[in-house]
Amino acid sequence: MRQSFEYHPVIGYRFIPGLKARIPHEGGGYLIRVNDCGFRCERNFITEKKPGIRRVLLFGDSFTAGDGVSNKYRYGDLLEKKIPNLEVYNFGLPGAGTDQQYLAYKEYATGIKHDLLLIAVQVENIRRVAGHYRYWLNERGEQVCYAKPYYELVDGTLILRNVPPRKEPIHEADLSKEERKFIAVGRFPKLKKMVKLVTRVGLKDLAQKAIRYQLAPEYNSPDNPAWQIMRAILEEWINNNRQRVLLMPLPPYQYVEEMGDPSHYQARFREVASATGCMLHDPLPDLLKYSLEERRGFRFQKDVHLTPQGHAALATSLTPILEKLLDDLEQGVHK
Amino acid sequence: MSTTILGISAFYHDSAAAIIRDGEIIAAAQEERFSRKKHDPRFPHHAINYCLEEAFIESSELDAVVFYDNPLFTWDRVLKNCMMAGPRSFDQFKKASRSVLGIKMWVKDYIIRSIGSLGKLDKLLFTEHHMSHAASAFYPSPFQKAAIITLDGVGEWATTTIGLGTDNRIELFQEINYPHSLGLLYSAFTYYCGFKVNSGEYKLMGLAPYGEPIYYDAIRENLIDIKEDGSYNLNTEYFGYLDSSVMTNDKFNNLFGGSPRKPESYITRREMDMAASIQKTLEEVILRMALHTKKETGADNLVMAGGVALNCVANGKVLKKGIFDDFWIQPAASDAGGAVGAALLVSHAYFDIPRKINPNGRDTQRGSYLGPAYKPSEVVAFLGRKGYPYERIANPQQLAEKIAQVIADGKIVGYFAGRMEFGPRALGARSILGDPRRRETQSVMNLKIKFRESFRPFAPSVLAEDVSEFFEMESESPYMLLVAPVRKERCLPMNLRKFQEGDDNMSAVITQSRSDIPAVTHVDYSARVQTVHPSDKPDYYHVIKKFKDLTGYGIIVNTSFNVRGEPIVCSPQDAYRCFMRTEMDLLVLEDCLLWKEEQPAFEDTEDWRKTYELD
Amino acid sequence: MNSTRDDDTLLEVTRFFFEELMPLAKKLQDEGKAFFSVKPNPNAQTYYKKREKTIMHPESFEVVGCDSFDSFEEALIDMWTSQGYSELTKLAPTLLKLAKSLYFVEEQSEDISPFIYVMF
Ligand SMILES: [Fe+2]
Repeated sequence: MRQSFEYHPVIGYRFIPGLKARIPHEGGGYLIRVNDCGFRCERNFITEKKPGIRRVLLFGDSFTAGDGVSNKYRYGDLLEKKIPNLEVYNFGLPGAGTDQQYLAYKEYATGIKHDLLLIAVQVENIRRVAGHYRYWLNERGEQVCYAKPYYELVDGTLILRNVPPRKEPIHEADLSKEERKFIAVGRFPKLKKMVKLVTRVGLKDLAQKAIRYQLAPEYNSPDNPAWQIMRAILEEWINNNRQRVLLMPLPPYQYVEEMGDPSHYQARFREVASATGCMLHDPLPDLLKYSLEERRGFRFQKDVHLTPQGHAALATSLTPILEKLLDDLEQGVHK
Repeated sequence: MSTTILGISAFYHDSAAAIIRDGEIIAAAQEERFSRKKHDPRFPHHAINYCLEEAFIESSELDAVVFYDNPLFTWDRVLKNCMMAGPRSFDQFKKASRSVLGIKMWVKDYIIRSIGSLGKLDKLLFTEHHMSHAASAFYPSPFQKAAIITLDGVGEWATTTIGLGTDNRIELFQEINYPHSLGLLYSAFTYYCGFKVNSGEYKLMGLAPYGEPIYYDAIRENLIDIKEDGSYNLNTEYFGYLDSSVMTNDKFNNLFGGSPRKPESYITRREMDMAASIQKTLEEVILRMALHTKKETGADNLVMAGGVALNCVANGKVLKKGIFDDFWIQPAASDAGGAVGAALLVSHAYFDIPRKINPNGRDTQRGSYLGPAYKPSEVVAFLGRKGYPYERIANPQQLAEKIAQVIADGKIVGYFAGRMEFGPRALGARSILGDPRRRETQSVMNLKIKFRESFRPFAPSVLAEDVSEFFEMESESPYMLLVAPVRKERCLPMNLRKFQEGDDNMSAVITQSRSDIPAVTHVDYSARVQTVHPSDKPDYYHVIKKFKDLTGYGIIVNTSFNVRGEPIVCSPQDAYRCFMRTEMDLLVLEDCLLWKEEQPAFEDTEDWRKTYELD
Repeated sequence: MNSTRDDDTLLEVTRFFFEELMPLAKKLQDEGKAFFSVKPNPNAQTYYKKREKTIMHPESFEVVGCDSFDSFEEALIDMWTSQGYSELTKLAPTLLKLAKSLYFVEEQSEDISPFIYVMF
């Protein structure tokens, strides 16, 4: 398998610019094409915009970059097909937290003319925001730990740390006990427990019984330290962007398949929207309209990333909102 | 609309995949290069993944997927063979039922699991094993019309076929069937001489010039009957492959005075003479067969494939005899090439795509540079991540000049550039290079870099226009499939007295300078030549050209980039690892130069001498 | 495959080989029938055989039997009948059973956790 990422002195890493690769995967494998800026986007990023073209800058993690599916099946690419005269610049960066996505924005996107900034926050990203290190696999399939950039909130101000991140892998043993807590796990815990439960009672029963787990306690209270950092990043990002912003929390499958209670994270994202005045689109209600069986098909068997069907459902949910927003913007009905 | 076909060969030896678009070879690669397991026979997940990557196509958008032989007929042969061989064949039956009945028969399921689709046809196509070989030989050849000979161990039933290719049509009209097989005969001798079947055949061929064909008569009288027309049958009483898992039996051993040589033990006169004897037999069959084929087809040209076609010494003789005006051999002649052949056959015989012949008179194999390339950006990403020191020379002329200078200084260079070769030979994309003028080059490369038997000579890469300056040959040999004599005036007399008097020690012969290009001159003053054409591989051509500017010699030593038992390197990571494990001086990764002495200590997490089974 | 299944399969293979295949082989041998020559024939003019199928037509690319278990047994019977070896057709039902027991499609080994990325 090809190496797909390279070191980046600010973000930590990015795709290798110009890379074309096919990644073996349980879904049959997928094709990735990387533009000359190091993002998995069919378009090269151009500062100026052609007249009549509407441009959306799209940020997110692997769900937005489209792990598991070829470029053309991703929701960002599907939007381009559904909405006339639309260009989507996909800045999705797999494995990245909202902090690194914000850094990618500052590094590569600030000058780019656009109509709308779409920030897709996979709900689990909060874990990465809290992390200072992260595990990766090396060419031999061994886990190695690399430092990542992260923010600290000091007296209400975001302070960037770990930049440039150390190039060499870090041995866990070299970290203090305190620091070791900041190795980002990336996924919500209790997963094993949940899988066991699902195996026991079956997915449908589980949903019907509405046994709901608190998947992400970080969202339980506005005062949670991880959330505070996340919120500060989102607010700074949204407030600094000159164009309209659409914020979209992307639910992990546990919410889509009704295994968890989304109300806390939904409340938190609403708070950000009202504080900043940005638009908010929560796709979860739309996704829940599908049958449970269809929703199960929105992720792969083992890999929880979106299948082409999952991307299509997400694009279907987004299209009317985005189209209306862009039309309104064009006609000057906003802000 | 274009037509894209994926071809797969698997589950026997050296699995591979290839992709053909509108009759043009887009990509082809062997699984071993990715899995790092030599001659990997498993389902070629990685090779298929690479082919789809190169063609940049979704599996569902393929027009067809084809498997290179017919598992049902293979099973027919396995079953009937055991019925003929009797109860002693139980072990063989056990093994074969697992691999054919349990796995190969259901290759379709492997494909669906691997890539999720069988393409637009939604069914898997199959060809016949020797049809795949024939297609791999004829379609990429430069000829509008050519006679075809395929020779291998065994496919379903056939072991030898003869036919004719015209435009996009292939016809095979004669065959010889299992258990009569020139490939299996040669492999029996390979085994007997202590080399590995299916990979050591090359060593046996390299050993032949040291020996005398004193067993030739015994072979002709007992093992094989060769008719005037080159057709042959074996006396299977002497072979083990019908009812056991070894190639020879006691009767064979008794005929040649003892048990087989133990692998890795001292090579004696007997093995050298055995090698010379079987080589002579093989050449005789092939020459007669070529004459017969000429008579049957009236064609001016010949194409060949199947494992036996890799015997470049025999090929050289056919060419020299002038039976055909010209000939072309599929460089991936063994089963890996079947993936290309099968996909080409489906393109032309199933989809009826007209065949495109290269207008410049050369073939359409594209120098066999059909594997993955790694962009300089990918190389730099790798080196940057690891923090390995390197120097980058973006100007191709300066780069070639620098490399040539290093070689001329007697250093050994690992050269990694462009798309990887398809087939067993390294042709300057994944090669180790050295100075052919130096006597020590052969032993240094053998012992410090390849860690292999020192009797094996290295091959030269020579500027296509300079070939006759060094060798008695006029034709091109871009795939290292021809052996030619070194020009007489370059040869030096050798003192063979001790060797001829019975001292088996080959090193006394090897260490003598045989010519002014000793590192590539075999003991019989021959060389296995690669001619390098600027349009096939400009970067490599320029390295040799610059070497010529510096030394007056438009020729360098080229050996495959690997250690013994290791598949040829594929990725920059593989190349770096191999570089650090050996005594190479310089590593060229595209336009990056890495000096051994500047590299940080290499933490080898595995004992590669255990990882790679000796070949 | 677990080891009990392996043992059962081996038993099946052994039983088929010694109780069905070998007796049939012996019978054919006693009748003087051979599937191929095992020795040269000095009197033969040539050892080349004329091939029946000389070119691949589009339909020759389709092999019935490798498609699914459903067609496998019949494909064997058709093959042997057309070759004139109808004696072999009675092996087909057991061979289908064997194929089912031996069927093995290996799992792909790349079972990387989807949230740990490859970076080297
Ligand atoms: Fe073959």
